[in-house]
Amino acid sequence: MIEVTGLTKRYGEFTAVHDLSFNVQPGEVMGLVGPNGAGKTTTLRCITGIIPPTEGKTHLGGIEVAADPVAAKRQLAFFPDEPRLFEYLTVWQHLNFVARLYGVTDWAERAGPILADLEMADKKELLPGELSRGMKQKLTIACGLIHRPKVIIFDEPLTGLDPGGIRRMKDVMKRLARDGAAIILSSHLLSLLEEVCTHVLILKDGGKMADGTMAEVRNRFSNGENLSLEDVFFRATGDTENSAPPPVLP
Amino acid sequence: MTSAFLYLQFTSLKNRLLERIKRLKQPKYLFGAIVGAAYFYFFFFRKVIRGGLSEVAHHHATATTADLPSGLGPYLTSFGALILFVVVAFAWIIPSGRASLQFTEAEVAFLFPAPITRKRLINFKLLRSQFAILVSAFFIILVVRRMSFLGGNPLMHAVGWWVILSTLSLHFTAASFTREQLLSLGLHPNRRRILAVSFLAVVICGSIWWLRSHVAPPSNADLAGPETIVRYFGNVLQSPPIGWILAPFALVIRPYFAADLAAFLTALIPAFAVMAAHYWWVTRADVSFEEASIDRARKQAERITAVRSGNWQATRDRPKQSRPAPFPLAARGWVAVAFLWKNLIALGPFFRVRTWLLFATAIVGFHVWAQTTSLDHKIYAAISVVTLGAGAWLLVVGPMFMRHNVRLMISHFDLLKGYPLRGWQVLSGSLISPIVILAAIEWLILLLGAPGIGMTGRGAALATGIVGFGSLGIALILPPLTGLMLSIPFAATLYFPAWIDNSASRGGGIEVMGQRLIFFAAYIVVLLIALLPAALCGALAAFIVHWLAGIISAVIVSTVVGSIILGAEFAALVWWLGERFEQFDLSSELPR
Repeated sequence: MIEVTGLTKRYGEFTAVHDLSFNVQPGEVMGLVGPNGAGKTTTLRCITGIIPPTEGKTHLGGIEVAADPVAAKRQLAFFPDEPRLFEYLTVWQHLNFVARLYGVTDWAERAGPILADLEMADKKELLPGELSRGMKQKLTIACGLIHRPKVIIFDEPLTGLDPGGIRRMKDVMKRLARDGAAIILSSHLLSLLEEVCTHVLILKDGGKMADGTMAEVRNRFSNGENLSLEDVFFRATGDTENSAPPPVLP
Repeated sequence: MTSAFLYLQFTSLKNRLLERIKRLKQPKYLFGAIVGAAYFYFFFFRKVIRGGLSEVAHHHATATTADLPSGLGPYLTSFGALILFVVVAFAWIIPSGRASLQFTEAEVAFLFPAPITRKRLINFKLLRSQFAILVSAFFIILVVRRMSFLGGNPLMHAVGWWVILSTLSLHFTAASFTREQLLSLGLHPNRRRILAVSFLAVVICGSIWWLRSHVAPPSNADLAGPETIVRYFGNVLQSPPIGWILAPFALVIRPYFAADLAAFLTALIPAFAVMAAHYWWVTRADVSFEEASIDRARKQAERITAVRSGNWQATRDRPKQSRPAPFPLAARGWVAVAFLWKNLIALGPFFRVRTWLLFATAIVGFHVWAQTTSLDHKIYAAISVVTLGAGAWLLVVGPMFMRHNVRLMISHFDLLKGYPLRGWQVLSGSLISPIVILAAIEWLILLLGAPGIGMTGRGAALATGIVGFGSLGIALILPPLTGLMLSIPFAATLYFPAWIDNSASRGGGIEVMGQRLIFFAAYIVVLLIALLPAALCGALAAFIVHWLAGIISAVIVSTVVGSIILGAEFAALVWWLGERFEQFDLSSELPR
């Protein structure tokens, strides 16, 4: 469903992503992790067709993004870390606008149940300024689901959410995967990835350190012991932050 | 897809207007709207509404180049073309940023991953910018309505402005795309600048060389008045090769200067052709603008958030290196000095005593030069009048500019309340930096303007001693007066928080403009009341001392008395506001 082959992105002399290849099949949730500056955001932007890669190809649902970006993007939903909404469109008007962008003719019939499912049925006429942070996040989800995406990308989806919002977001991701979507989840929250993801891809300095199912990646970095994803991450990236002693305060 | 963009624009506009109307239920917006509407009516629309369309129609029917001195229109077009040429040249020399288009963060989030072609994204951006350009053209016409001597009518002028602004906007976009393409071909911005400047230098030198050999220098008759000057230099600009270079720019300018409908329509066709060529240029450029646009949208959103929260300083670029302290800060002492120390570090190395001393030395040097070289008295007097006028204007308006300190105080309210300080200490700390900066500027202005006051018509009667001691007295009065004026916005915020423009206020509009007018009027009234005791006591002291010891002593004593009273008023006000600050509960005062 998501097929990335030899993806490379250079900015002049600097290589942000180097020769990255991986696949995400329907029903799979792939966690994308790496330290700051590892190339996660650049990878996501290339996959979503927001920026062109220097080399390599990305296929979404069998359609090459560079060759036919419009058709490829029709299958995609991208959820950024912050809910960025139009200040002067109501909840319902957001859905109307997105439906028009994606050409969803039966949007009104779909929008009602989606809003009801997200407990937002009574918020249709509100502007974003009148919504809480969690409600804004829900609206972003509703907008992303209105066109039945087959490829879904989450970038730090739990930022700023309360416990209720976190649980809801996890449920949404699991349900979408069950329904057959291919999902990429980029996050620094390794516990979230451990709970939700079926696969993981660890990036560092633009290169792939490890990828595969959670079990495969664990086995690769363990010497028989039962490692958490956090342990695996630090071993894969060669980072020693977890073993550094805490600073001594005066 | 265009319908989706139009839906977004018109629905957003409709909702924005509805929200504005809804908030008129709050008295502060309602009164603001009434005052703002009255301002617009009396200053812009009254004549149009009273004169009605008949005036416009009459003007349209009779407007010819006869409104202008005969045949001056084409020359003005050449001057306009020259200005446009300079503006366009800067677009190729100055910018160094990546090619980007202005999108909001919401547009980036929804449109960039959406199934939309790049060309449609560009079209959306161009379509959206048209709204802003149309509004700008409308307001420019309102403001420069008195330029009807140019001929034409307001509608033609508005379309003329729209053509100029739209073409410029398209050119800036196209230039940024081309710069990006040149960069991808290995042409570094500095090399591109060198090339652009070299091209410009060749054009200027070639033109000067040609002019020297083909055009006679201006005679006294050519420089006799504005009209002859315009004719002479207009002729120069129209003569080849300068005329050829400016020709495409003149095509864009010409509709604005068209004197009648026929000339306007004739000029519009080539102007549209230039616009269409630019549109083709923009849409054909295969440039990756998305990444830089995302960064730009993020920065813009950060700026808007910072401005709404009152933190204007956050809109500046973040400092890349630490700044030296203006002076060593002792661990004990007057707390306000610590606030001043912190703010001077933030303002950077320009705001230091040595900078002010350098300025003062330069001003003194100027006066010495003016006296020794017998500078024309009229010029000296003019400098004095203009400088002191600017000083008076700054004295009234300066504290208004510093209102962001109030917003900053509100946004840092919790932090400030958490300090182990009395209210008056926090207030004096918040006020000390703007007082020091404004007073220092005022002192420099006084130093520049006061010595020449004796050269002016009315000032000639004043003796040098009176001017000198009077200036010193005014210098003495300025700090407490500035402090008093700066305290008024603080007082307004602490006593009428819901009425003051703060982070809770969203957007602009006629009602917000009206609120500012109301605040300004209240500010002037309170200021006059505050000045009254100092003025009365100063006048009384001047009267008595003048009778006892002469005019110079009267000037000295009256200004000292005035400054003491203003200082006392300021100290009392800070103490009083400090008490209010300590009891102030922001959460219960501001509207939710």
